[in-house]
Amino acid sequence: MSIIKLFQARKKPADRFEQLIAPYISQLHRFACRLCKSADDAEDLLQLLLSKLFLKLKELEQVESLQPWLFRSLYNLYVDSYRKEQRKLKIISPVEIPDDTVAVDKTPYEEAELTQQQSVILKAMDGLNDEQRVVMMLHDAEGYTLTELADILQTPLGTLKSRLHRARNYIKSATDMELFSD
Amino acid sequence: MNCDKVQTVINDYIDDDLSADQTAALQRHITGCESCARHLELLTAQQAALQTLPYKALTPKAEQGLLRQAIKHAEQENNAIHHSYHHGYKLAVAAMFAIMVIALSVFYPSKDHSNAENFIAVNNNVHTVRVAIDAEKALKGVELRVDLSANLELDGFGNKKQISWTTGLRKGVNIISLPIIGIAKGDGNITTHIQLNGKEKVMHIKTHYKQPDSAFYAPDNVMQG
Repeated sequence: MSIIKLFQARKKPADRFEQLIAPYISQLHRFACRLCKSADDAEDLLQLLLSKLFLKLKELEQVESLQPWLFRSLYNLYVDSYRKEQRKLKIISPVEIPDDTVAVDKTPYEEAELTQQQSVILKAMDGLNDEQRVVMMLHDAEGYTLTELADILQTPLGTLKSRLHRARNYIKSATDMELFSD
Repeated sequence: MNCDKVQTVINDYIDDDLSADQTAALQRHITGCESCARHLELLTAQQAALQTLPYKALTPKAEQGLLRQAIKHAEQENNAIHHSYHHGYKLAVAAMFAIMVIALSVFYPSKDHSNAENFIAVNNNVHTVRVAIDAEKALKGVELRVDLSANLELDGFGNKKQISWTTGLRKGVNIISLPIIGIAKGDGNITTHIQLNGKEKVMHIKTHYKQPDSAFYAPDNVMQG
C-alpha cells in the first residue's frame, strides 16, 4: 500500500466522505431541484442519497468516474423513493411541524424571479408525465445532452428523444401562444 | 422539404442534430412558410425560457450542513441497526403501530357520518400511531388537531394535551405520525380532528395501557376508519 493510501485509510470515514463528495454537492443539489417539484423535497432527496452513500464509502472510493455515477444514483433514488412517495404518502409529524406554523411546500423557484413565460411553462409541465418532465427539464433547462441523459437515466437514446419531442410539442400546444409573441 | 417533414425533424433541428443537407432544406422551407416559422419560433422561445430558469443554490455553509447532517443520520441509523441485534425486543415494541385511514371525500358531502373508532395498546415506550388521510385532491390550509387524554403524552411535547397545526395535504395518502407514550395505567383517548373550510372529520382512537408481555400486542395493528 502506498504512503498516500495508508494516510487516506487512517482518516476518519466522515472526513474521507466529505472530501470525496463535497466537490459535487452543488451540482447534485441543482440536479435534485430540477427533479423534484419542491425545494424541501430536493434537499430531503439529496440528504437521503448522502446518508446512503456514506454507508457505502469503501465502494464509493473505488468508483472511477464519480460524477455520472452520483447523478445516476440520485436519479435512481428519486425513482425508487421520492417519486413513489409522491404517489403514495406524505408524512406529517407534529414533532417536525411546530404548533401554529403554516406548512406550505416551497417550489424550487422564487415566484418573483420567474418571467411570465417561465411561470406558464412550469404550470403546463404539470400536464406532462414524470418521465417527459424529467428529460425536458434536464435537457432543455440544464443542458445535458441526450447521450449524457441516456447514461444517467439508463434509458435508450431513442426513447429519450421521443419523450423530449412529445413534451416540447405538448408544452407548445398547452401554453398560451400569445405569451411568446413579440 | 414540406410542412409534414418539417414537423418530424423540427426538434432535431433545435438540438442541432440534423445533417447539413436537411438543415439547409428546413431553413429554405421556413423562409417561405409562415406556419412552420411560427412553430419553430415558439419551440425556440420555450427552450430559451427554460434555459434561463432561476436556480437558488445552497450557500457553502448550507451545503456543509447538509453533508454533515447526512453523515450524522447515517451513523445513527448504522448504530440503531447494530443496537437492534442486542436489544431486538425493545425495538420490536417501538416498531408496533396502528394505521387508520380517513378518506377525505368527507369534506365534500358533509361532516358527521365520518366519525370512526379504533383501539390500540400503549405502555411507557413510544408507540407510533399513524393516521392515514386519503385526500381526493391536493389541499392547502388543512387544520389538524390532536387531543390526548390525561394518561397519554406525545413524545417531545411534554404535558401538552392539545396539539394543533396547519398543513397542506397531497393528493393520495398522507400520514400523520404520532409518537404516543402511555404515562399512566387505564384507558385513554387520542382524538384527531381534520378541519377544512368549517367542515370536520374526527377519528377517535381508544387506548389501553398494557405491558409488552401481554398477548394483547399484535404487530402492525392496522385499522380502517
